[in-house]
Amino acid sequence: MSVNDWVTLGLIAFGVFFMLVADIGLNRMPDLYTRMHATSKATTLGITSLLLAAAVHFGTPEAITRSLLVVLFFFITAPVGTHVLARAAYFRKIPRWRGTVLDELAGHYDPETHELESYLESYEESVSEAGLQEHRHPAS
Amino acid sequence: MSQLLNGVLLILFLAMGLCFVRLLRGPSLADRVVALDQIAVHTVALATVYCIAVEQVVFLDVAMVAALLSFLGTIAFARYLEHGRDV
Repeated sequence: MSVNDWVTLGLIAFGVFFMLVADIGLNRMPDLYTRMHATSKATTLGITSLLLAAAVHFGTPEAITRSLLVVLFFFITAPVGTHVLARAAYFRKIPRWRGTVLDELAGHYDPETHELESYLESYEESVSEAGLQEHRHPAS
Repeated sequence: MSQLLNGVLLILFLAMGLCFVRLLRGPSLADRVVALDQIAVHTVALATVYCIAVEQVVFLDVAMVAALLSFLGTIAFARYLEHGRDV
């Protein structure tokens, strides 16, 4: 076996290990959001490693181009898909794990239009309220 | 080399079986969608390892198309979850 083969096998082993970790996480994690956390990240790393193995193994321009294209595609779509799905699940009020301690989105989503209130908006409101009180205070 | 790659393909198939477990068990529809997405990623991984095993670059195109279709499927399911009627 040449150096090329060893590198290929190493990348494949790395990739398959992370795909397995993602699947174990998918089955062992307690609620939807932690499951998505397990699958999206570990899977992206695993599939990237496998595709790089293909690129190293063939070494031709066409194989390298295709592998890198699929890797780029995964880097773009995996976070987008996970975000869209988690957002939909949040609106459907899919139950969270009972150990969850923080929900920073609570109260910031409009339940009708599904729009997120921006941080700047609430910040400006609080500043203008504070300024108003300061202004009003000496008069009253 | 070929023997080892056959073993890798077997491991990937078993890992795909773990996704099917979640697909059957998943308490909510969103869990099943996550499992389906994961199964599609495993299809891409299998196509990639298979193209190395049989020395055919053409199978990378299969991986590319599978990745594209799985993304569209996930987005469609998410839209349905967010705006659709009760499931």
